[in-house]
Amino acid sequence: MVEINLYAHKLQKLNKKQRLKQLTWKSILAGVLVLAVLMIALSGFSLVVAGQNQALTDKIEAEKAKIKNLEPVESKQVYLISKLDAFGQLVKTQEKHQAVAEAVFTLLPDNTSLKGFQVSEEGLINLSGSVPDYPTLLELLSRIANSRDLGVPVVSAKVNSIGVSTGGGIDFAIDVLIGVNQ
Amino acid sequence: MKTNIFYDKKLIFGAVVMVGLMIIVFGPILGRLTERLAVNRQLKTEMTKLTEKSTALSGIDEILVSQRVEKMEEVFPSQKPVVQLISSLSQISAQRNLSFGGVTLKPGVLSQDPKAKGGLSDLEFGFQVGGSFNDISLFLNDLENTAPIMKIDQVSLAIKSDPLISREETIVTADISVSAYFQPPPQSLGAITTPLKLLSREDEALLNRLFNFASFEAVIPTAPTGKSDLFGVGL
Repeated sequence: MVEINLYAHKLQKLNKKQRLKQLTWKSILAGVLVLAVLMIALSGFSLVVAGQNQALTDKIEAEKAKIKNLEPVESKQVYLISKLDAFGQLVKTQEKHQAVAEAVFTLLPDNTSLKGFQVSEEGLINLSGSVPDYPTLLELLSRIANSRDLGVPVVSAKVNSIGVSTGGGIDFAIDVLIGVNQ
Repeated sequence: MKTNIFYDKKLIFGAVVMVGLMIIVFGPILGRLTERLAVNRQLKTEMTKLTEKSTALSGIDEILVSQRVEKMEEVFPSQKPVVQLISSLSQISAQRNLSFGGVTLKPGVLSQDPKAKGGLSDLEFGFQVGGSFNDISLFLNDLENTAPIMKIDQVSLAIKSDPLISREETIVTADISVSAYFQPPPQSLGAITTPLKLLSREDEALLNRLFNFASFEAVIPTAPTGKSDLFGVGL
């Protein structure tokens, strides 16, 4: 008698399904376990970061207290820095003016009466005044022409007017450009 | 077969519940962690700035910086240097044996917006000095190296030889107009984390030039002037 198992195929299918179910459960369980471990790790890391933050906050407070103690030094440093820019500019301008003032004093011969002079930032001097005679005027013009020998950096000079004044002297008006940046 | 379907549904339901729970639990944990990491980054940046500032401040010579501030206040004051200016001018002219007078003062505006012109203000001052040509030349040189810092705006010279005094000596009268400068100090230090600007070599050289400026003590009258407190018991 030949025994024919009619359920063999069905049993095989059922077995396969059972195994799949078991695998699914195991996978879910493994997934849950992995996630739980991950959760614990993240929570732990978060706690470590929180601890670090607390330590940093304490250190920051200590540094702030240290800086607070040095506040007088800081205020002095800030004061100096705030004034330096303007002070530097003033010193530069002053040097130019000093050069111009020295130049004027070197150029003028004795007995010259200066009615006025104006100086621009670029070093242009408008000289106007009077000299008692022609030799003094010539001396003045010669000094301007040979200014380099006197150590005055005259770049250019222009005689605007020369005329005899009512008092007998000679009036003059001369523009002299000094090379203040040289 | 019916049990199987029920079992499958349970399985799917269980999986969905688990995922939901994970989202509920993980969401806040991840959120808090992100927040803490951001705070951590911020604190580290702040700490670096503060450490740098603290180190820079510790490296500053307190005595030297105090001396420089004191000299800067003499040379480039924070307030209108009216008294110092008059005192310096009269004392330099006396040193150079020059007559000093004809003082005119333009004190400028009484209050000014400190932000205007970068906070830089000036005080115009006119005066007349008389003496020898050489002394006036030296006086002008001295003027630019005297505290408070000033700039010669205008010089009008009258040069004449006076034969009654000396044939050689040249008598000069100079009408001089100068501007003295002042700048109010900064109002605040700013935030504690604001980096401290250090002095460059050029700044150091400029600060060393401060000490080339001669200072004269302002002469303040000691004798009682004006109203006095009649009820003061002199304690």
